[in-house]
Amino acid sequence: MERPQAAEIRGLVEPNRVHARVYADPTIFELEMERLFERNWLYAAHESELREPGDYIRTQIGRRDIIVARSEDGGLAAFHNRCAHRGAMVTAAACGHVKNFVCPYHGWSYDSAGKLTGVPLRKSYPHGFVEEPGRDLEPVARIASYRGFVFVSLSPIAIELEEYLAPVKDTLDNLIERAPAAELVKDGVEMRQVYRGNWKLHIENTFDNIHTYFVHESSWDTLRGWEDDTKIRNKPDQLVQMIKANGWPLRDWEKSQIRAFDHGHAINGAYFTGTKIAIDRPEPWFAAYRQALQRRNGAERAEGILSLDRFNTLIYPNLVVNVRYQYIRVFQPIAVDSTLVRAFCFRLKGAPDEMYHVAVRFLTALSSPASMVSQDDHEIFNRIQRALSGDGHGGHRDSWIDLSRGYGMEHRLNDGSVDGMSGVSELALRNQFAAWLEHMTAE
Amino acid sequence: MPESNVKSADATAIPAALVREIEDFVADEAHLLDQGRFEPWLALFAEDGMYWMPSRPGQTDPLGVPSIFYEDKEVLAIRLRRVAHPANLAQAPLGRTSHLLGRIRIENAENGLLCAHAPMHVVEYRDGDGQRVFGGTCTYHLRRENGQLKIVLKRVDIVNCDAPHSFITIPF
Repeated sequence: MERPQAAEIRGLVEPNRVHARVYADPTIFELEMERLFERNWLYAAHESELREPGDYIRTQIGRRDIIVARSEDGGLAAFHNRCAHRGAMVTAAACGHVKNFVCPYHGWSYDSAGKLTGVPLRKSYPHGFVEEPGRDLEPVARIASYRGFVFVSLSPIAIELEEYLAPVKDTLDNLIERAPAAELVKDGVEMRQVYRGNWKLHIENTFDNIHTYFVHESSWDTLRGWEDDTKIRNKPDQLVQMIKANGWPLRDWEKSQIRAFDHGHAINGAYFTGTKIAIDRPEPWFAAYRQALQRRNGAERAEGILSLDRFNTLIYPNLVVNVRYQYIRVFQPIAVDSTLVRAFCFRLKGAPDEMYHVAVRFLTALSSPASMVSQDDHEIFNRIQRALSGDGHGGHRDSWIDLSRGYGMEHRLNDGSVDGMSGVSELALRNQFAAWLEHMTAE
Repeated sequence: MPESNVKSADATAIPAALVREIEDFVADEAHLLDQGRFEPWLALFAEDGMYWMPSRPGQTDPLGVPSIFYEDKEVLAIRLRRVAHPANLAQAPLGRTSHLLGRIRIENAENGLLCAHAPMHVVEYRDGDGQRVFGGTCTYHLRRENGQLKIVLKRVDIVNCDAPHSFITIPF
């Protein structure tokens, strides 16, 4: 396949519109894998999955199968899941614990840092062969943890993780601080959905606040017509509350917030203030949780932690964090027109079990394949992809996708971030493409 | 009354008429889903009834582990009414299913509930998404209320419950 040149890619992105090829052209997709997903900080694991030396998880970064492990010296290691001998995956398990990774093909073994430790029939290989460099499992270029969130880059990059995360790292800080013991625990269960659309459609949708009013009408309007309106609308169930909130009038969405940051990151918020989603829960366990938080942080600080009015945070390109429900989504591209959505939630160490149950319910409500909410989103992505697919293969017409809602209204703040000045702005989408263009045109 | 050859876990024989009643109940239940007659389907549930499709094989905890479905009667009612809403995107047009249930095993469960298991194959078709096949086991916990059997729990364990899926709208 012919690889698109930088000038050609620049021609696909304008300040307030993009060409359909960015969603539909397989050569663009391959370049995204190379330049955006395999040469950038990508979320790979959480340290609570890697407690003891020898603990490991497998994940997909770009097109590569990667192992992230806790090595014998207590450090973190990440390497390609591909034996240095004949290329077989050394493990097919999603996670586990090993003393050594032993390749099932010819028995080459590697320690939990990926270093070669043994080769059966060593003398049958040419003299000095085994000792040559490059016989370990190929390490990734960069690995770093920000307070337990482990990121890797498969290729060398100059920027440090903390600098990359800087504009939105307070989201991760807040998530951790929501745990009375200031520690997050991942239990390991993920929900996985696939849709037949480009990966970018989802991160765009996540910061397109008003789509909810249109896309989710079938659920919020169903709820609105309920005969016992007050009872059902006040049902303390994350799904019902989510459906209800999706039906906020458009003028309320204008009052929500969109902010965009360097590197493509974004947040949306102002969902919990005023008449919107309550921060509190009426049950006694929430009072117990609040008290535990106050004991550690003092009353004022505890309220500050609880009241951070932030819904989704995008850590570009493919990690979305929701602090209120300790909810994480990772968008994993499969092909130009196919995406895997992995979702999970954290347990807040020191919080009552019910806090985790609420997070699990939110996770189920939004990321189960049976979710009444996300399935309408996914159907929209499927339909966009079907409509655009002709443009990716040579193009039968000059097709542009609009991103202009709120264009020109935005306002740059003193800290360098940009406020959309209206929750209906497509600012975050334009900001994503600015970052996209920078990566995609870097040789 | 003749006794059937169906034995419960504690070897108490279950009356043949009750076996037949449960078999008919389960067949009718699947038929209502396949016919898209969701209101009478939902009426088969007790007021405290739950529909559960675990996301993990052998899952025992519906609260601390996410499920594909874990819905009470109210939430099921929202789900099924939404299906008919003109703005429904995910089911426009509405998908169709065909259930094939295998031989039912019945046991007396605890708490006075009757427990039945049936192997299940479901073929589902939706325009735009093609045809999918799901296989697994349906487990029913039934209670008699005013002479009628009611579903306290319908649990559907699909064999690929922990695989990635595109969306599932209609309960199996």
